Amino acid sequence: MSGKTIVMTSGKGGVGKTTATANVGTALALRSNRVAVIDTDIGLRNLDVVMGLENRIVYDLVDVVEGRCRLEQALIRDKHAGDLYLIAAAQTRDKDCITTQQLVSLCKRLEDDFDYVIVDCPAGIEQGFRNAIAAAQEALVVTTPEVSAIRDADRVIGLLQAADIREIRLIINRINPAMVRQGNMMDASDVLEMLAMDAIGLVPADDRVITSTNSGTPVVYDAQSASGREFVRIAARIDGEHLPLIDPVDETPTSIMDKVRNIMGINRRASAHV
Amino acid sequence: MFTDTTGTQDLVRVSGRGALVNFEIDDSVPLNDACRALREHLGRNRHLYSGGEVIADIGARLLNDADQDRIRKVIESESGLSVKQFWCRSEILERESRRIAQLMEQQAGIAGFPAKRGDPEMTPPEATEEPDPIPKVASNPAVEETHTPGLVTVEGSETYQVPIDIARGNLRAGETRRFPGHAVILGNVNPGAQVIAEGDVIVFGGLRGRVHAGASGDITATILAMSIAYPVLRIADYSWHRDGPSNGNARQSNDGNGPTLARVSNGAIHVAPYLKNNSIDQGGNPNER
Repeated sequence: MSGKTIVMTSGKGGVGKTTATANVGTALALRSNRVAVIDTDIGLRNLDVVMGLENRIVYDLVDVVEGRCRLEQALIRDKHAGDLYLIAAAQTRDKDCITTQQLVSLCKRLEDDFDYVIVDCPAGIEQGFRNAIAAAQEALVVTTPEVSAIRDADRVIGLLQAADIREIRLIINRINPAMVRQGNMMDASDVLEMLAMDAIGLVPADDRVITSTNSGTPVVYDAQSASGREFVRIAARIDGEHLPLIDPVDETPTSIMDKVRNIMGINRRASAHV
Repeated sequence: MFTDTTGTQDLVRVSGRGALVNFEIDDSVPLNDACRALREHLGRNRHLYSGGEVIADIGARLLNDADQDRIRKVIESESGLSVKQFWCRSEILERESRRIAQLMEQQAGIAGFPAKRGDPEMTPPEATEEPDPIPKVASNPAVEETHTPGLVTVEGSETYQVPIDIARGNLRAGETRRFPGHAVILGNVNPGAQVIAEGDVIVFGGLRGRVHAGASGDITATILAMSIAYPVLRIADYSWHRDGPSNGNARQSNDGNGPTLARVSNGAIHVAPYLKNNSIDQGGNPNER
């Protein structure tokens, strides 16, 4: 088996990288893929919490690269999806304690056993970022429809291209349909035009994400969650399915009749932005 | 307001009043004659002045520091006024700027800046040999750069002397591209990106970042973009910017305008829609702002 390594990055913090990593990883595993997710945010680990695995951590990423444990010992199996594994970040070290070469070597080993290795990148563009992108063949850039997040995403896309990662796709997170309709938030086409990049997912703002994060259960398990459904579609697109992008603004019902049609599953508009 | 033309054959004209007195000094006679006429005028009209600041308008004359000091001393010693500043016609400054830029290029062994259509003084030198290839700056490989040696002629239009560099791709936040000559960007210049060129800058895409044309002081340089949205523009030492929407609506990508041209005119950068029937040599867009 020779899988591929995908880095989940953004530049700006707080846009949903870790949530996206947990959900995309879980959704890929639910599609019968063997998936390993690696938290490289050393010192500020969160991925284990979002996946509900914080109490199962014995060894972490730094233990593996420094040879204190075998790779298999640091792989934590997910509670829900059978073929999903986590390598947690160290909480008490800093991002300079591993080298780019060590992480590249680790990902190469994982690619032999897994279909997908998803690297959760820390915020910023310093050493932690450089480590995280070094082994990746593909990148998913997470941004929100805010000017500051888009600026940082643009910077990160430039750095990814400079690192010769050509397969870069965008996840626009937390799109608020009501704000877009009022003209107070950029819509997806605005963001895509500014970044001149293909999107792989348009994720609506969703309160259920907060609940799922707090409970340690990825939102893809929640069939009622619009964001969960979009993360499932993102995983399908990564897996090679050709699904049209669905703009949350079009998907969100605005009238009672729209709501009725939605319940009946008819007249749902889909629009492709790529 | 009063206008005083004296017996010195109209060599000195004084206009304005209060704090806005303007001395216009004839630019067609030798500087010595102009200074003598100025001294005579001030000697006869000393009673008219009681201190304050004036502006000396020297017309089409281009003075060095020593000559300016000479005029300043005449005015200040004969009248008690102090010279606030010297004014000179903008086209004289532009012409001199072009001349200096040409001299600098010749000294640097690089061929000249583009000849602007209709400007007889700007005939480009003949291309005798190809200039040395210009080293590329290591940067984002997604932006391909090509360097065009030799003379590029657009039939019936402007003739550009190299170097012209073409960057193919989007310039993204954090990127700074320097061009030794004219720059053609086949893509967007995003917010946070910066282009610095010695000559003109043409952006075949949206311009939302920073562009500095004529970076060595060529005020005839122009910036042309397919659309602009809140960029920061610089031409030589002049700068221009437009603030984003104040209502917080961040729909910044909807530039809402078409091809736009920026150039220096009358001491400021003017930005206006680029109209094919209002080329620069025909005065540019009459509605430029």
